Amino acid sequence: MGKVIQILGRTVKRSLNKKALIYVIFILVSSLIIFYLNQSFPYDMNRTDLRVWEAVYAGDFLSLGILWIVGLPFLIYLSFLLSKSISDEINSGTALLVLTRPVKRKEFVLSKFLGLVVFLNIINAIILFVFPALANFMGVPAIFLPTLFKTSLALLLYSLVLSLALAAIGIFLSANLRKSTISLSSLFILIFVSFFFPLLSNLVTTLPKIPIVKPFYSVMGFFNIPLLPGSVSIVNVFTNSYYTTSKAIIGNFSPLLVIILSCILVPIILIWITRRLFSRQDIT
Amino acid sequence: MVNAIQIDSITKIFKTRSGGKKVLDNLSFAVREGRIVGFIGPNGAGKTTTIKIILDLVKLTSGNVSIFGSDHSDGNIRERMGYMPEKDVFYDDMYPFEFLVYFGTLSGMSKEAARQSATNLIKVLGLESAQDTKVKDFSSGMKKKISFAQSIIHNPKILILDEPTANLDPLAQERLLAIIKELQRRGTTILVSSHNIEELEKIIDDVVVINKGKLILGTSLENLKEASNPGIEVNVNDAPNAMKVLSNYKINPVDRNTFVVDAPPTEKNNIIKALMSSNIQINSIASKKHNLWDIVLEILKQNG
Repeated sequence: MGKVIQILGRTVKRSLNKKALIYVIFILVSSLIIFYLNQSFPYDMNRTDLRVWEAVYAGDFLSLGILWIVGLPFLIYLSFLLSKSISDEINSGTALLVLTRPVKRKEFVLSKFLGLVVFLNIINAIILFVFPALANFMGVPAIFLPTLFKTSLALLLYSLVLSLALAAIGIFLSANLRKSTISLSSLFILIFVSFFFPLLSNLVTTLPKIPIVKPFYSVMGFFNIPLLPGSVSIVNVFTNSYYTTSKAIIGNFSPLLVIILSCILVPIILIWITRRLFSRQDIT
Repeated sequence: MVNAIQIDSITKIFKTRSGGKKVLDNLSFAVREGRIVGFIGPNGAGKTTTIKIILDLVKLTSGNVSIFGSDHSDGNIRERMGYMPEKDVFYDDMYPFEFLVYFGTLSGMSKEAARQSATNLIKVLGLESAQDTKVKDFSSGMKKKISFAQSIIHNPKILILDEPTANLDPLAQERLLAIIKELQRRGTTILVSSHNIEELEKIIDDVVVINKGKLILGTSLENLKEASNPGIEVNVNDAPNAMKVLSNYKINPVDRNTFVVDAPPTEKNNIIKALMSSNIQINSIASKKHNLWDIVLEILKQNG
């Protein structure tokens, strides 16, 4: 376990570089701009207004978080990090040095996976908890700060679940594909398809009317993902399709259980497969 | 006595688009405990692949490798092994001390012991002035030193060095070879792969030569030199006459006054007697010494 923590610490430390700082600044600045463009400030705040405005702030921050802070830019940044997480260590030879020590390959894979999850959530924690403070500095009344911080916590949990699922996929690709460009392209395809898939699924009702699409209708229908607020994310697409399939096979499932199964169990399985495949690889 | 490294009939076939490429073909040799073994072969002979198989970085197609009697894939055995790769490998963001401590602790040392060992090695290798420089900004010679340092920081029982003296100035080479000898005195078994055979000759006890993935030779340096017979070089005033006198030997002329008699060193006195009894003036006579380079070159030529 000590070695896992050491490699994990090294992965986090190595990732905390200038690029990470630029990313954090970019997300904070752009988030503040988006937040302000989307806001109208409360002027007459009585007891009822307060609750309304609280809900407005929390709702806006939540949407901003899901779509932007833990949304597409995060997924792109995450893809860049994940695509080269293991392949870069193999290609540069550092994996070779580490694996000549008494470090098992499964420990190496696990520590890279956990290292990236920890790193991504450290920077998201910084963004999500600095954001309310900055918003307050820019004029959001202090009375709403507890609500914003609670929303930050919810977004951080969402980020954790999302990064667990994606990091497992990224590590799997990076460990098995030596060229990080191929891993990156695969992750990009996955993310973009997942991100925009709910929009496509909305067309499901109109698609059968087009003759050429008819044969594919059943395939589209299988996923049956409705366009809902908040469904614009890989986790929702992932869990929705999983939920629909599971429901069809086993019956009614608790949505929470489905999310736990999807985002905890699936990474465990993926990391286990990665570990097995990586153990058989030649590190040249 | 158990060998430090025992390689039994290993074969490695790398998968390629056209099927497979056999890099090692039924290779067997042993490295005895406490010896320094020179691992020699031309480019593409399979040296680095063999080393990576010993370290379990590359998987075997068939055969067995054992380290002190244990299977080489046993992760714990690597606590007792050190490896210096041919290519210098570093993390871009690390300083030398940090780099050494990281690999020391990964090898099972306590943080305190790793720090102490790193401080000593930085001093011994003359890297004190570069402590505040990131390893990526080191000169190639300094990188080689730090790469060597990481391989010995945990005081391994087996040390595997791949081209350790490349890019080092003569003084640094001498210092490194002295450290290798010192490690041997402390009981470390060392396998050195190098193209710098002249340097190798100064430190090695045994030689393993491979070519095209097959073992060509595995013996002690002493035996090898004894077995190779370069002959006796003779310089006289009257070479044609001298060659007639020594006609019962196989003779290879070198120039107008010099020729080489194909005979073991023990024949030197008989040759002197024969030439003196025929009144031929001998300017010089000496058993020709082969260096390791000549011997290896000869062996490789014989084996295609």
